[in-house]
Amino acid sequence: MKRRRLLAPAVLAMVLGAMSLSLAADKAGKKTKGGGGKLYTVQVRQHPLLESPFLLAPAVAPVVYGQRVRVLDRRGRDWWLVAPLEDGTRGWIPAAALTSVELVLKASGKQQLKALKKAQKKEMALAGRSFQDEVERRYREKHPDLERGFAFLDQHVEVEPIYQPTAQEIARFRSAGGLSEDPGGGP
Amino acid sequence: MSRRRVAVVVLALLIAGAAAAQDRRGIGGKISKGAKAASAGRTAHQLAKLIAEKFTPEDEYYVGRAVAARLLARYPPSGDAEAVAYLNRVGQTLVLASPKPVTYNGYRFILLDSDEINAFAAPGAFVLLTRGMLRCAADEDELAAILAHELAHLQQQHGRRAIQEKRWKKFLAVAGTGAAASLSGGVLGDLINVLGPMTDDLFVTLATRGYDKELELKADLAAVTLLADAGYDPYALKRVLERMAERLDPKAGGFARTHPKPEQRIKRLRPRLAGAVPVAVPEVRRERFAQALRAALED
Repeated sequence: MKRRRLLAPAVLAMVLGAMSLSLAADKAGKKTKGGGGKLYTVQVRQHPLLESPFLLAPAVAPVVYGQRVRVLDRRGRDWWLVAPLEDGTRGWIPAAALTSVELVLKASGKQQLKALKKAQKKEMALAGRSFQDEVERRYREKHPDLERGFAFLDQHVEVEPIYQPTAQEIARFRSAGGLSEDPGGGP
Repeated sequence: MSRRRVAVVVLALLIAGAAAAQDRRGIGGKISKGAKAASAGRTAHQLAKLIAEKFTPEDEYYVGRAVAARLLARYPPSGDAEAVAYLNRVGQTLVLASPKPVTYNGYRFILLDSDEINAFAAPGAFVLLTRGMLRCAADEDELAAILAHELAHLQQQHGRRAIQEKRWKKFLAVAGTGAAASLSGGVLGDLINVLGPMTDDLFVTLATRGYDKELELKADLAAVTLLADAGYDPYALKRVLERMAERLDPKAGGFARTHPKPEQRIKRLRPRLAGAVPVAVPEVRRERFAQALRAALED
């Protein structure tokens, strides 16, 4: 009886300890069970996964900010072959689009939506907007003198194609201008 | 209790304790780190590490939008679509050759309808330059030199150094609580009260005070490397600076106040340029520069 009383807390502590260690390792983004590569987080708003490690390659599927991906292969330092955790797709992406830090999703996404639903009633109308959108909305309310600048960003800079030439356009522009086809610095 | 049983219990407690400690370095660690940073006592290196962890690319983008909006409130944007399209093609050509070709929402190059000679790099990543600055460039390679200097500021994250340490400590105190994802009204208010002054710091630095002179010189050196990597003439920056030296009124505000003297910048470039291979600017680049910017270059 006395022996059982001593063993019970010991076993419980060991089980709890093992569970905590397992959770901590997973949170740290190390190699996970199943033998796959390391987990990384998408740190750009959105980016296509490409069929091959080349900017002009066809897109396979998009990934978005905060999404977790497993790195399967690498081509030099600049291009990584990854697979999003949620599905079976895989594709190439510039390494600069990923971070080893597990980003806290303040932006849109499942977690954000979940947070929004839990928020105060007055915040419910904002569901679907990103957290930072809301911070900006309130900042703009406090600074009406900046509205013209914000409106220009929203209506022109963020949406018009002249501000966002495609990779194909840039390739043609480089070629027509006698610039190197394969610039050395980036991917 | 036998020694063996005592050993089992002690071992189990040690494992549990170690696990709990490791867990605190994960999610729970963010709370204590943020609180400690807010209460000072951290070295600059530790603070920089925490900022890199907590100040996300998304945060940086939204602060940059606010800075860009403030600059657009002071300088009206140009509606010259042909010039803007060309500016963005030259800019993106540099971006693709740069060490950091991807940002949260991509790079944007904005033309400001002002005769003042000036250019700005707002985090996130917006490059804004005036028609007055455009006129300091005689060809595409020289325009690329101006943009490469601004891109270097962005890619070396010089904007972060413009933000006062006390702002960062407040930001870490809010971001480090983990409550930032809960969208409660209080946290929103706190973040606005932190991000607003960050925007003020950046705007004052970009428009009035200028970066540390050493950062400007570093951006010049990086610009020369970027020009060469993209296939542009690395000597183009020197030519632009020589033209600025002729045109800038050293007693005027704006660019003349926020940047080191062009002569000083040229002097610092000389050792770097000594090993650079010059590129003859082909006629096709001169022609498309003149064609796309013909209206913007008019006085």
